[in-house]
Amino acid sequence: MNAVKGRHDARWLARRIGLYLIFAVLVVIIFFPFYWIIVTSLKPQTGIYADIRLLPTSVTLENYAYAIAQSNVFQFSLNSIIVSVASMVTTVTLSVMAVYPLVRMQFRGKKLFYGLMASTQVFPMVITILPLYMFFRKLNLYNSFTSLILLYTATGLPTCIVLLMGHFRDVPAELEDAAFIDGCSRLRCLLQIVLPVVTPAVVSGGIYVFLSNWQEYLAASSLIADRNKYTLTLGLTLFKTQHSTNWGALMATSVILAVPAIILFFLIEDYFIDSMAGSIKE
Amino acid sequence: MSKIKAKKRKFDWFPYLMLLPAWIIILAITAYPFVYSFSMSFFDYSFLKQGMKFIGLKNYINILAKGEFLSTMEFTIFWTVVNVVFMTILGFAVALVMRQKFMGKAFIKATMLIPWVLPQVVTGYTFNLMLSTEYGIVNKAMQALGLLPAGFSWFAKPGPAMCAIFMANIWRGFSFIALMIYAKMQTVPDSHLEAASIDGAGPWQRFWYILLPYISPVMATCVFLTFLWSFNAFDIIKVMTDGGPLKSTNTLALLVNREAFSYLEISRACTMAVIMLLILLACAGVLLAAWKLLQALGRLMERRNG
Repeated sequence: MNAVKGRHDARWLARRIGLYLIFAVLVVIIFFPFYWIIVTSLKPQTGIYADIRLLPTSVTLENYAYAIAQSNVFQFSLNSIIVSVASMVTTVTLSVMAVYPLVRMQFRGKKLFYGLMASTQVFPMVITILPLYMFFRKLNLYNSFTSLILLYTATGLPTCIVLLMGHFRDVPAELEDAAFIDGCSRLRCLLQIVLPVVTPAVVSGGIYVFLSNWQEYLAASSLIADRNKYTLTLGLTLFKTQHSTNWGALMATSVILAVPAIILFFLIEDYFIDSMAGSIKE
Repeated sequence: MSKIKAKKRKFDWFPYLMLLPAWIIILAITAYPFVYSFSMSFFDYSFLKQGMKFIGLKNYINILAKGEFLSTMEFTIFWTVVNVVFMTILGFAVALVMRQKFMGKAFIKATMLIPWVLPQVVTGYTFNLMLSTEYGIVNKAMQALGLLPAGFSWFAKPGPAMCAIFMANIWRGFSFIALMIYAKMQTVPDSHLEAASIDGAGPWQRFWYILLPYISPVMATCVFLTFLWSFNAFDIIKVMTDGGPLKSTNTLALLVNREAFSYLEISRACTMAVIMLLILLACAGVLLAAWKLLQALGRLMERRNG
């Protein structure tokens, strides 16, 4: 854009105004639904149903109180945390174990593994969930967190591995060569030399996996039957019944579901965008 | 990559051991279901009756002959195409806007992924509320502007219901695409663009001959990604319309899910799943072929232009 300073002619002004108009529209489109969630969650029940306007006339926490105290939202959140954290730990551990040989070593079966990972992206969860439901039933793991954690680990592995591969590659090989000469075993090298260097990437990968599982709906709805084992995503659907919907409580629970996700995502946003841009090149 | 020559040539277990857990879990959760679905589709297994017997291709014939599957497939393809087109075009347009300098740009860059990070079920319910007949702010605003009749319901008829789910899904995806395209655009070396404008190329020419070819791989990736997302989309539609008024917004994903978990017809659901997968692979193949074709065309044009 070449704006000649001092020459603010009509065309330049029209351009600028148009640009800011588009910018404003964009901001509204991107933010309004999010704004609406928060505002609705803070409105009293009467305000949601009777008085529909952009800014609330009164603000209350009664929806949150209802959700947490009377609707088990606290229990649901706990369940979500347990499942998401556990699957994050297993996924990250297995990913790190897998990425190191993939990046640093040559061996047969590398291409096969890449192919396996790529093909998992093609199978939609809708298709795989039914056989898995039968599988877990047979193993008596139905309606347990274990089944969900196993499933999340499997779906998270390909993504996590791809996210980590770039960062592992960036670790200079000389670091490990020095250790080899001193007689360090491969495993020790991984743990004591490479891992400390890639820790930020590993943490970001873990948080990303945590986020995908935190908001997951399909698998949870198929594999969990007991209401008190519901994750937060499932609990959200309880507020909408055939007869009526408690929008206030639903929005309050949505805030509880969404805000941690957004905060965590902002923490890893830079890493994530870098990894995305990097993996696109491949 | 240096291996100490002093090591004897014994088999190095390390990489295989490290990869083993990942192999097992991924195979179990991905390959096994496919094998199971495929084999189950040839039986008549259902939770509603005892035992099962082999019935060959009867499931496939029944499902493809009866109306619901084909119309659902039509809608799924329609849904996918519209989503891909809108997400890509909107994303591209927004990426172009982002290239300009203006105040607040950093803010938008940091926050524009919010629609994509928002849990899908939350997005679905939020759009439900915003478009709700009695309480929807969008309805009230549009009625005040005279754009909608009073008492308009987005979810009572197929047409508006489709618009509603399109709105929610496209809203969710376009900012991700925009950021991806924008990130790639920013890596175009300025030197190329400057050299071109010194040679007298106007903004449109710079765009068409330099920018576009540079970002076309990313655009292809975007099209492919949005295709996969949309074809397999589940959460948003399930939560907003659950197949819509009279199954009009039913997609294959919802169909398979309902057949399995609501109707408990395991074998039929497996059959539908296999067919759905085949359609997915076929579409992916078409996309790939189209991409190769475009690349070849591009090279042809380059040669002609010298």
